Amino acid sequence: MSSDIAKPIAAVALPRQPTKGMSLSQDAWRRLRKNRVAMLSLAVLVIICLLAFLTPLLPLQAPDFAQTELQYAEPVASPFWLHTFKLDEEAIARTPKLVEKLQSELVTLEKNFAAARDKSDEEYHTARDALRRREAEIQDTIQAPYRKLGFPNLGGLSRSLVRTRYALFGDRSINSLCGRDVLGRDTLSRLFWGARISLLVGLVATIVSLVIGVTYGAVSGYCGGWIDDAMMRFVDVLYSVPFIFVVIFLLTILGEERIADELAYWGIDRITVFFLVVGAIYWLTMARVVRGQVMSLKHELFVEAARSLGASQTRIIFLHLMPNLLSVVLVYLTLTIPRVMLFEAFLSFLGLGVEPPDVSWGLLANEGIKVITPVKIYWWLILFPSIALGSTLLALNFLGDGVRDALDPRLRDG
Amino acid sequence: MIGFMFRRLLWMAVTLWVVFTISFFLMRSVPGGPFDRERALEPEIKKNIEKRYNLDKPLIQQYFIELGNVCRGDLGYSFRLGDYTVNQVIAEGLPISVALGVLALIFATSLGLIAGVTSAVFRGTWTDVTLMLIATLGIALPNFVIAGICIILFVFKLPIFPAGGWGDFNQLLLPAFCLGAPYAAYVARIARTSMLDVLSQDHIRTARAKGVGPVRVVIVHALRGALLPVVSFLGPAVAGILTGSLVVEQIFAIPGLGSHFVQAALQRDYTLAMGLVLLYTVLLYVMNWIVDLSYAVLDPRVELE
Repeated sequence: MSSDIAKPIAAVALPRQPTKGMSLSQDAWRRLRKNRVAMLSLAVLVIICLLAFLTPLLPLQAPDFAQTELQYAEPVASPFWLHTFKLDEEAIARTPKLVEKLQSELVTLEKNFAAARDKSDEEYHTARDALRRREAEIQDTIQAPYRKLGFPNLGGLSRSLVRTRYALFGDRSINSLCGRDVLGRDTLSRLFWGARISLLVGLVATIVSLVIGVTYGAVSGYCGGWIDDAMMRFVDVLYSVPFIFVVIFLLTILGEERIADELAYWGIDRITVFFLVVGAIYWLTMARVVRGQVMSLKHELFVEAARSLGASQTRIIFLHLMPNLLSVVLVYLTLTIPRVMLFEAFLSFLGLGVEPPDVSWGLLANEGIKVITPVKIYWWLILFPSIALGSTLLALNFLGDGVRDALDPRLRDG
Repeated sequence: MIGFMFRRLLWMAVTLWVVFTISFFLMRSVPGGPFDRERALEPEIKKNIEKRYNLDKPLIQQYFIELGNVCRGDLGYSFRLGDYTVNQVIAEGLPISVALGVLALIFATSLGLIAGVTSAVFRGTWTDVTLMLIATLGIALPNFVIAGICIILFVFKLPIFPAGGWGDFNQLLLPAFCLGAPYAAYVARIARTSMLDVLSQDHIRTARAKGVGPVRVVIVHALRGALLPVVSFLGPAVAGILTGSLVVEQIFAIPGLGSHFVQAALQRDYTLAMGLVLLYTVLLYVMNWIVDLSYAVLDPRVELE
């Protein structure tokens, strides 16, 4: 309430100052808003992200629901609704009790495992395996009603979204507007579920690269001297390694069954490995850019002032220098996300990235291209994933260019 | 100049050594030997195999034996391809990949330059807008999508090209185009910016004032200056084309190094994979080196230090 009253008073009390300064971000936002292509791209991206986030809520068919009798069915639009989606609510209502019972057994197993730590190898392994098996069992019990419908493993939020959807739309689901694949699964819903993974990989891997790159570059640029020399030499060496090959090599080794099992137990599944590995490649350019910026900033007066006031090195780097890097970082960020997504699609296409039952756009395109035969082309399996991937990447590229032009007009290049 | 070349060579050796060492120890840290099959091998056979691959010696000794072999250019036997040595695989695959890559690079630079220069000269017109839109599309679309669309269009709808395989020139064109397309798009955008930059400079105005024709101004006076950024992009472009060949060779069933590498990775053929990683590192270094040299040739002001 108070703000409603305060507003007109403030407007009266403070005459408009013609010389009111504009912060860099306001200025950039103003310039970005003028760029119609960039704003359109931004709108498209926001819609895509929202749809991807709300996928479990949408009345789509389940992404892994195989109907082999409908193999390679062409896109159909009528009837629009299918009435086949039946969530077993009773089973869901039963699960908490079952899980509780299993959980109580888990406690004793955990104790056994802790006790077995000091004993022989064999006992240790038996105890560990028993523990893991029970954990898997709990997970299975929770997922079973959803899996029966053809959903992949769902998190808590997604499960409640699915239940909300069932309450909202009942047994209705949209017919396969984009056709069906080799197992008769609905391509439309696979596109939506794939969007979740593709976008998530793009975002998370970029953030990983951001954190590594900015920290590395800032430290290197701020320290200067031989530390800087050594750190940048290291980046130079890494630059000349054909990274994608090394990454494929790494993913191969980390995908080895026993290592994968071990990692999976620690909560590191293939997608997490993927985030880390991809993030670990794309930090190089970021580190260089940030370093250059820090080098030019560190002799500015405000840094001297902070130092003379007794601020520590860490404080200066993270509190005084980092905010000034924002524009450079943002520009680079918007340009990195599409590259990372492209890379994910590339690896998934080769069969080294996301693995079934997870889907991503790269994997879908791969499935489509694999079934090209001279006899028959299942065009919908190629066209729709390509459109999804292409339009998202196109929007990201346009937005990236727009942000770059808005934030730093000097940076215009190819 | 000689110092520059020498230093480059030294760094290449260091990089190769780092790559080799890391991948060697990673390979050996994988549980289970490369010869674990569903059915256990006879102990004698296993011993023989391990002897052949030097797996029966202590790890450090293995490392130095392998390092010595690699230095002599012997990359060892492939784990999965029967009696093939890694060198034989490379000898068969490299010429194919190089032919594909060079043609893709030619596509990328020629198409990209023509598009970029055209859109700079006709700045602001529909030609410019359309060409740049196509270029952005080319950058945004992954090359397997481009390849898929090309196959549908030019193999099935209009049967101009064969769908895949290797042998005659016709089979080379479509994959090379798909491989080069994204880089043509980058080249076009870079060429457009640098061309616009050069066209606004004084010496171009002078040339125009002297009455030099518009075509001659663009090709003789402006193009050379505008080439520099394009040339410096060729280093990353070569790296990208090497990478892209993994996918394109797979799609068009071309028996080059790319498809060998993917197969090696999928089937956990570590010696072959490592040999190819080392080879790609050398290729990348050499290409970057050539790019740096040509930079000095194009712009006399550049000094190699």
